[in-house]
Amino acid sequence: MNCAEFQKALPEFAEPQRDTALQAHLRSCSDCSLLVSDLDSIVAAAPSLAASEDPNPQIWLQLEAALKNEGLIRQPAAPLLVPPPQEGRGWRLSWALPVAAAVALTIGLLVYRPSTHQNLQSTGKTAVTEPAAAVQTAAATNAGINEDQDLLEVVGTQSPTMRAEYAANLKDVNAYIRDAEDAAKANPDDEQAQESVMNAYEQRSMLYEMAMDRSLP
Amino acid sequence: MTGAIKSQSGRLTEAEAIERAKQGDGEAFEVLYNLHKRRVYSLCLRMTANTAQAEDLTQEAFLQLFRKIGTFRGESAFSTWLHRMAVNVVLMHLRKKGLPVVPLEDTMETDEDTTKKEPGAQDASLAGAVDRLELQRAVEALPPGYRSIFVLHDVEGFEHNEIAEMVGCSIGNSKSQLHKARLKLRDALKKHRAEKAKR
Repeated sequence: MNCAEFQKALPEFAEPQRDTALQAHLRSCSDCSLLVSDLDSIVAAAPSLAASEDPNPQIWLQLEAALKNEGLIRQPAAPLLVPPPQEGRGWRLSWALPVAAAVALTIGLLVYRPSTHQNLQSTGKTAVTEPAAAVQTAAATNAGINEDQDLLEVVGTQSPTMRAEYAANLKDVNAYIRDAEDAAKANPDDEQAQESVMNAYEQRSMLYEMAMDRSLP
Repeated sequence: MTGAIKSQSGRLTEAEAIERAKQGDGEAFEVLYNLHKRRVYSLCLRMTANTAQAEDLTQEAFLQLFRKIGTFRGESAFSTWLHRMAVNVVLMHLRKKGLPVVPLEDTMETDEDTTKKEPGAQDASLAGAVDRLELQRAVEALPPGYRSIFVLHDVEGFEHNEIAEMVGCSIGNSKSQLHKARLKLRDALKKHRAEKAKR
């Protein structure tokens, strides 16, 4: 079997290494062996693209509105009202949570704006700014955990089911933020990676907005 | 995909959510949406390589699902049912836009064209693992027909007989087009790495 015959037969075999004739050619041909190895790497990486992206939280709001219009949602979802302002906590949360989300988004903008990052690197200020960015990120992470707990507390007072849903959503979006930040750090010149970070922070901010929209009387 | 576990915090299982959604319970719809949104949206995004279209199609797929949820009897997994519906929504969209859901039948190129060497690019191997981000970009750059076949088979795990049925081609065609899609991805990944190395 020569290379042309091997490559012609290749599409038929999910695992060419298991076919005796193909296996014999693979052992003797480094080019075809490299080809199979590369294709295996692509196939191995492909499943990582499944379920890898979080949709914009607005999609659910639009879908929910469409379901209500069509009469498919017959019972209104339990309203997640902010608890009455006993001991002054409710009113504080009603403004503090959106503000916290906005702060998180702003931190995302400050830390990961690519042009800023590149400009600072080019002026030799990296050594000063990177630890500062790390401190900002760590502070943002700690603040984020507290904000999430506050939000879940408010949501949970009205509906344990929705609390679990929001907890899962926050977990997803925080994981998305971490992934995006890791990718951005690994590829500081990659604009798409930087956009992913911004997108991740925006999604977190939208989650907060959705929770607060539901909570308003 | 397994259903949600009913935790101490009172989260609904998937089966409970399905039954409640059949009664028109808004929370149950939201639970089902949250369980499956990532997979459906990622599928739509990979197939279209367009965020706005992927968002519209995600909404459409779930809308169709919820319209028909009363007919779900549990013979197949709910995720399989939904996933198949989402694929059909995307394929219908591609057809409406006049985009090929299966690669045009070798009108522009031959196997030899696809596998021919490019100077300085084809001799090197990808040498190990392929990064998700670089693969994602290469998939986005594939022509729509190749992208559909690759996403359906290698990303989403459909078998060739299922793909052939969904897109309306032969099993042999599905296999050969998948192979060509992988070769195109290999070329694109190598080119990308070569450009990166030059910087």
